[in-house]
Amino acid sequence: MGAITLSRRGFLKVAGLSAVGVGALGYTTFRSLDPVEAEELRSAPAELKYTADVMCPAECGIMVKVENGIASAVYGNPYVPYNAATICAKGASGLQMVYNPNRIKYPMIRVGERGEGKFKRVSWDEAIAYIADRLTAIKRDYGPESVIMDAGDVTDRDTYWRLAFAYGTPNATEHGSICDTPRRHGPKLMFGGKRVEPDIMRPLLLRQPDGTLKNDYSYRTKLIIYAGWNPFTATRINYESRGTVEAKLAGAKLVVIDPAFSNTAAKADKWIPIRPGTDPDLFAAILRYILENDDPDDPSRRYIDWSFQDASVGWTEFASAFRSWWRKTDPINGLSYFTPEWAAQRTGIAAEQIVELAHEYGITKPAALIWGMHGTGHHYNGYIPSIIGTALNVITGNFDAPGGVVDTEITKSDKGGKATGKDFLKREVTRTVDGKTVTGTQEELHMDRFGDWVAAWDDVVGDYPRRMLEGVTLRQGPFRGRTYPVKAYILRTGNSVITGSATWKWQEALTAKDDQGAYKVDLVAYIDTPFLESGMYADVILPEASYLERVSLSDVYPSHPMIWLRDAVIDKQFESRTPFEIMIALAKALVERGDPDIKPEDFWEKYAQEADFWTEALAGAPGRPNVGRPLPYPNLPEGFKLIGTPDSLEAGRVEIDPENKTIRGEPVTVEWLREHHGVAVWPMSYHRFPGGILKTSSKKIEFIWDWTETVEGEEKRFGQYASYNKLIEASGNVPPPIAALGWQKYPKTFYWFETKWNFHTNPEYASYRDRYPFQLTSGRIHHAMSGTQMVDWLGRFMVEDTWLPINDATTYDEINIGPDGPTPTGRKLTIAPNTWALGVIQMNAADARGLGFKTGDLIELETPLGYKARGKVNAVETIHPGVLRVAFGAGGRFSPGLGKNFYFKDVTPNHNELIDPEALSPVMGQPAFADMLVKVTRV
Amino acid sequence: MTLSTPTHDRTLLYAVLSRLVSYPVTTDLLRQVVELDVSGPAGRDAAGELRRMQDAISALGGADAAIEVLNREATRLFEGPGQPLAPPFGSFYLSGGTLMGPEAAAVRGAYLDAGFLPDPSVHLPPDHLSLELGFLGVLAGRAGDGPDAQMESARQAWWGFIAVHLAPWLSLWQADLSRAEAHAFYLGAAGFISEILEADLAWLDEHRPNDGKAAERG
Ligand code: SF4
Repeated sequence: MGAITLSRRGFLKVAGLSAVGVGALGYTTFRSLDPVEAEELRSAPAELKYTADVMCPAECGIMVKVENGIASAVYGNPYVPYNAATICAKGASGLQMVYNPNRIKYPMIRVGERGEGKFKRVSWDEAIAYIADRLTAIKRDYGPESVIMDAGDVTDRDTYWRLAFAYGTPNATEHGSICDTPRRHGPKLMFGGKRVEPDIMRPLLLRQPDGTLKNDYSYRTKLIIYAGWNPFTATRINYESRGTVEAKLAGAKLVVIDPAFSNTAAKADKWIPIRPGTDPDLFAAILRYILENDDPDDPSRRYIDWSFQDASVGWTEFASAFRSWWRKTDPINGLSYFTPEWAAQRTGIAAEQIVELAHEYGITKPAALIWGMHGTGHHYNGYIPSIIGTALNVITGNFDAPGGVVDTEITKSDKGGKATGKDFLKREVTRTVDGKTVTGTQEELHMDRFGDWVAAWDDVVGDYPRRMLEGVTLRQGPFRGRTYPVKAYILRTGNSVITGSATWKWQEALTAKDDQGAYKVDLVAYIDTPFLESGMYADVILPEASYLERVSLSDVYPSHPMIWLRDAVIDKQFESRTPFEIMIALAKALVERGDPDIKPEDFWEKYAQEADFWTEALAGAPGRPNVGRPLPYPNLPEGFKLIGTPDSLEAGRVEIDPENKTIRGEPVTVEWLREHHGVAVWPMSYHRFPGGILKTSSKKIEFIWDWTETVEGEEKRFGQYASYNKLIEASGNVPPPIAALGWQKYPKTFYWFETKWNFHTNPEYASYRDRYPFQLTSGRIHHAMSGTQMVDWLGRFMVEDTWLPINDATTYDEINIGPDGPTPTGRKLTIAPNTWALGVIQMNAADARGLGFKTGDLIELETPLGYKARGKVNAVETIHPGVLRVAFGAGGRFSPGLGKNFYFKDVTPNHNELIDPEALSPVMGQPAFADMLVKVTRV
Repeated sequence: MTLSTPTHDRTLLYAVLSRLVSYPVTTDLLRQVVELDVSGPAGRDAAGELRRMQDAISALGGADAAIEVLNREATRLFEGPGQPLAPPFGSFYLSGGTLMGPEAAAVRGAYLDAGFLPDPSVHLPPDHLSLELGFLGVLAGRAGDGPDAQMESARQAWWGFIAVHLAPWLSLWQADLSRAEAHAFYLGAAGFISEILEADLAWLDEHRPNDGKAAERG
């Protein structure tokens, strides 16, 4: 329009308009307000509204300032002890995500080929019909199990799972299977838990000797050891960075074991650099040292607190299996397994330092040994440090002790309950197998647990591409022998093309066609707020309401039961819809198409509104027993399961059911949470495990995972591996991943095997040492994770040495995705040099000098399998020689929805372009993201 | 004072303009565009921009045939996914590339000042161009009907809304459309919107209350 000229001119007349004609256009209407309402709205004060973050999966409690219906600031919610009023930079910048012009605004349908990124806007009706038509045809032609619902990386996945389970597929998953399953394995086996964290979440709501409840801020930990764990940069557990500093101020010592001098290492009393993939060796050496040197009669060597045996089973077998390795000689160094000298050869840490660490850990109480998800877990044998670490925390008396470690999975509140729809999995279904009609439950059609990955508690997303290409063969259970194809992949808040193992393999699977030229996977749907790489391969895109526009629940990693509400604090933007609305719309569309399994009474007749669904998900909260010291509710029976609001339990407004050992107060509801700053908090206690909080089959800490006992005259199998082994014994089919280890079934107790692509520990790879001299590992950079790369502020900070503003001066053509795929917008984008952080390759300065590289040089990484990626060198002292480190998911990002990072995709490394797609860890199928060898060349 | 201005027509015209940047493009809308005719004042080329739209519709084979092409083009230009080529939001141009920035709050304030808000069924930021044009239709309606004081204040608000909330960024938006080599229909639509607003601004400046102008000069 240019500068407005305020000249006096006549009125521009337009003819051809008729009220009837224009009325038919149905143009946007305004509603008239009465003067009082208008004045009230105009002068309405800003409000603080309570909700939960989703900028990362820590999902902290937050308060959002809302003015005129517009969110203008984000703060931490002081009533949620989990983050206790704090937020991180990423949380504070969340409005740049919610109000990002790149967010998905409308339903879209693909108009080009998959991967071209060509879409057109459609109505919700069209998009829902598109999905429902295909789901109906897939169920008819192949069976509902051919549909995968991958509900990604945000914990409010219950609506999507409910829909999937009701539709008839057991294949509903989440991102955990590509996140930290090896890290969780030890706690899962021994506690029925998941994540062990140090006891540094403060405040804790603790019962006082006088019977009152008080927030406790004291830190009791004397020693924290973080192995490959970097809460200051990588993890999403907000209280750990705060708590680590506070614990140190209160006198705790901090030791960090990491190949890189991380931000956490920078806070440590001691940084012990270690070679990647050798944490099992260090942990095994610590355990051996403690077992060999423990002396209950010598206070300077009283490492083991033998009282753990009162509440555990199988220690003798575990210790004996562990000791059996001491007699063996390691082919790679000729030393006896698990001695300090043996570990020194492998880890690169001096034997004396290992002894010192083992002694210090054994003698210091309370202490917390914590291991990481990338650093220790993302290896082919990443279970082993988790198992040994769990055992170490138990035998030293630190598990659930004040100042020790807490398993957050078994202590947090119950959530989801019947709303998640797991009851549908018990439905009886029939299928034809080898010409015979077979009956079983819906669950028994599961592609992993009854296929190749029997013990994969959290599914095997990293192996989906293979199954998309080759189909699924069930090997266990009643349907064994049945094969079915993967025909639909519905992805919500995940980005598996970048983070779910080899990127190229995902691309291959999602674009593979059959002989008729049709895509093998008939339907790819992408549901999210940001538009990430996986969306480029979608047939249909649904805009999901952002985390400030929907209702759900959060409960991530606290030390005691608490649950907080995610609430719709602003109106939904554009045509986005909440997960609840999407569930109902799809359910209705499927019923209209005659779906035999989805019933109105399970969906829209049951839940009149979104809050009803989440209130049902709260029905069992907190669902934990009244156990531990101090007892949470001394006036209520000990050991009984608690259900109900904190105030009703506190006031004794309860019904006690002695038969079922349940105490039921007034139910927690969405409304109750809204009236209580969005959060319910029940008291903390310690030493909860002897009282029945464990989720193991024996309710004890289990050092053995498959054993038989006679109970009331009947033989009963116990242990976390027992049910899998029973399946294997019944079928005679050994799952291929464990067969590759030479196992016939899952081991009864302690096991050991080497990781892949590591010439320091595995003789198979010794010959690569000269040609591929670098170990490549990855670490999370909280700022740079997946969708939040579209947040502009976060691109301006340097983080550690893998996310660095060393961009060249660059003018780029801005790119958009639309009906013609990625298209230059015509706008030129100029980024000044050294102002925009890129994912870079952290390299030891001496290594760089030896190769003639300096910071900023563009180099290429190549693996022995020939996979390549490029990035700029950051030559620094802060990394172990012989090790390269990149930020996970930070490079090679090719979605224009991300903003500026897209323009650096050719000079930033996506390390999942390098991963060996076959290197899926054998028990849980976790991609071995951190097992890589590379050589480097200048570009 | 009653002005013999065709404000009723303006209400209808703004409704059409609002629909030009709304989804979906419909045959009714395109037929309405085809039927439009523009005349006077001298020096403006609203007629040329209108013709550009009409020619584009006819080049596409008429209203029915044009729908699919134009809706795809609207997706590309205004919606993404990913970075939209020509985001039709005041905040994007005036508040640092974001949505719902201070400009959105200011526009919402202007709606409230006039005693209106978008219908709750509308889930667009208040500064989306289609809403802003719809709001001009509301103001135009009030400027042509009711007590004198109300008509005067509506003319002042109408002028102010164009001057403050549309004029500063519409040319930037048009430039983005040109750079994106937008379909002739949308180039014409943007040009037509711009021409109408510029002409109305000039006319309103002449016919808005003197005290409003004095206040600005002061
Ligand atoms: S830690 Fe995660 S959830 Fe918490 S404020 Fe930061 S981004 Fe948000």
